Amino acid sequence: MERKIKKEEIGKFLRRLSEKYEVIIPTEFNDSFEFRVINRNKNEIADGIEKFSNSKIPPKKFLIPESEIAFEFSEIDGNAIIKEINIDKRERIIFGIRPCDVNAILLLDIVKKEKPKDLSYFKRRERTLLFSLECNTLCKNSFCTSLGTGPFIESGADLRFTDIGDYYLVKALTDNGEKFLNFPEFENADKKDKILRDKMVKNIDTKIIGHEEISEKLEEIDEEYWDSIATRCIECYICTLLCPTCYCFNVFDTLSVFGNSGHRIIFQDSCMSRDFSRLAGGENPRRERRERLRNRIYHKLKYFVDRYGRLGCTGCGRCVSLCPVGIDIREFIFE
Amino acid sequence: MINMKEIEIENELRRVVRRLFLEKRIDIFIGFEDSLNGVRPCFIKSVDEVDRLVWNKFCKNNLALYLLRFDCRVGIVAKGCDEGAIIELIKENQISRENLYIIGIPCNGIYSEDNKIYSVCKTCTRRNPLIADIIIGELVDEKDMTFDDLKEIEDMPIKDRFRFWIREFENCILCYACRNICPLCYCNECYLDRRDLIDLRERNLSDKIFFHLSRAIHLAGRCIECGECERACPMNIKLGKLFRKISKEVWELFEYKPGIGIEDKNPLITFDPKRDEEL
Repeated sequence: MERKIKKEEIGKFLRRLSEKYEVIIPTEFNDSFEFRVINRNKNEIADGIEKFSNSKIPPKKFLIPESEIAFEFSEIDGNAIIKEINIDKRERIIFGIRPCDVNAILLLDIVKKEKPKDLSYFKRRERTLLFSLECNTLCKNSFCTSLGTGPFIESGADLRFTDIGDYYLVKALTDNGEKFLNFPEFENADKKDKILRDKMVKNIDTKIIGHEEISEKLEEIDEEYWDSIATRCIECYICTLLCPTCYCFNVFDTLSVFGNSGHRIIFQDSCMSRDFSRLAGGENPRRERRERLRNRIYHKLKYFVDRYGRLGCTGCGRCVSLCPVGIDIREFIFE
Repeated sequence: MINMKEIEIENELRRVVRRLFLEKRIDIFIGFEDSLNGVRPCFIKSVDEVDRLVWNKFCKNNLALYLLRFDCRVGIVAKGCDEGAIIELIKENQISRENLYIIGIPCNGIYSEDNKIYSVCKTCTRRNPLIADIIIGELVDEKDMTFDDLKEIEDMPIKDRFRFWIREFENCILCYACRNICPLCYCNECYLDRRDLIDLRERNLSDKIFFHLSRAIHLAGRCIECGECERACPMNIKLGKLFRKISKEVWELFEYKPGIGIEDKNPLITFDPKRDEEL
């Protein structure tokens, strides 16, 4: 089903949603937008969303928190007792998520489904609805048009919003999304509106590069080239922490003073860190900067393809724009 | 529009570097190259690669950072702030002047991609080369030292100021980019990597504050205000203001500015009974 909503009505629509759901929208602060839970007491909901290109922190943070307690454990009379932690029960809507980030979440779904299945991820995922907003203009440094992950989206989100001037054209891509189109803010869309979107889609050049092609080319890169790029790397975690598809984590147990109870924490980690691959005894298979950089690029462009048949990069361009020393994943894809 | 002068400097730079390679005076040259996403640092290893070098007002990185990665004769192109960092590194016995060939270029400020001058450049008093082996381009006028840009924050009531900094540090994602890009944060073993001090498990606000404030204290009397930390920060935390404030304190207490003279002594690691009487 396809309907449309006036731009001025979006705030009203989101406020109505926030009565029942936890609504997350891009919120402006410090000259940029970040995804935040709606503050219902505020009047200006979704104001300035026209300026929104994409957030720096990807919306995956609502599915994979920076850190979380996995479970608590204790020992009573010689028996181990494990207490599961209840995670936020409220259903969530992420409004304004861009097609690249929707595709990133679809990738995370595949990875997290592998055995052992990540239960807390799916507990959150099943309660999360994605209302995707298609892009009228391409973000700087993004290359979604070459990977087929944007700027438009045909599946993956629940609702699809497209900016067609005074209105958003809204299409339900799943049954879950369908019911929202009955809200009173929506009007019926006519043929003209659909043509407007079709025109937009036609106007943007997409030239999709084959996955196999990219991963094959990767193997031709010689040691010296990796070295020359890695010399520049400063080993910060920007490219991994702000990547919408990175999911590396570390696990740590914390014990109480008496040693008979504690909890297990799962927290975000980064493969660009020297400590990430360090083994007990001090051995490190990825000791050099070059090896860690190669691992990141290989994981995105080759290991993903080998294992799941698709690229681990969605072309959002965050790592390119935010890298302080200009390391550019596009060079590995296009050159 | 390309500034004609910039092009001339760029050509001259290439000419000098080519000569250095031909005369076998350097093994590697650290400079800037163009890429899809603007100007970035590059490492020239032979004379055939010299044409990759560029020079313009977007050459933002502080190249002194990379000096510690090479154990050979290095040539480097340096703005005032790069040179300041080099001086500090020499003073701290991290690199030796003999193995270094510095091409100094007077600097009128560095611009971001959207053509805005970086805030630290507005108050820079270290625009001209002081220890370079060769200077390309004409010297520029130095500005008077001022800390007026800090007034806005300093004049806030203490509660507001506290809130201001909390709000800044709240956004920190502990990516460590500011530490890693800093040319003077070279410790092999940094205590900010100690996970009992900065806990990546919980990512508490208190740890983030601890991270930034301890870096600020460690760089007191050493920070040369190149602003790399602020530029590297993905969350736009106003680190430049924090480090300017530290510099101001050092200046007011000791009338000392780092990155000027190789013989200058850092007042925080020397003790002069006369000067430090009141301390």
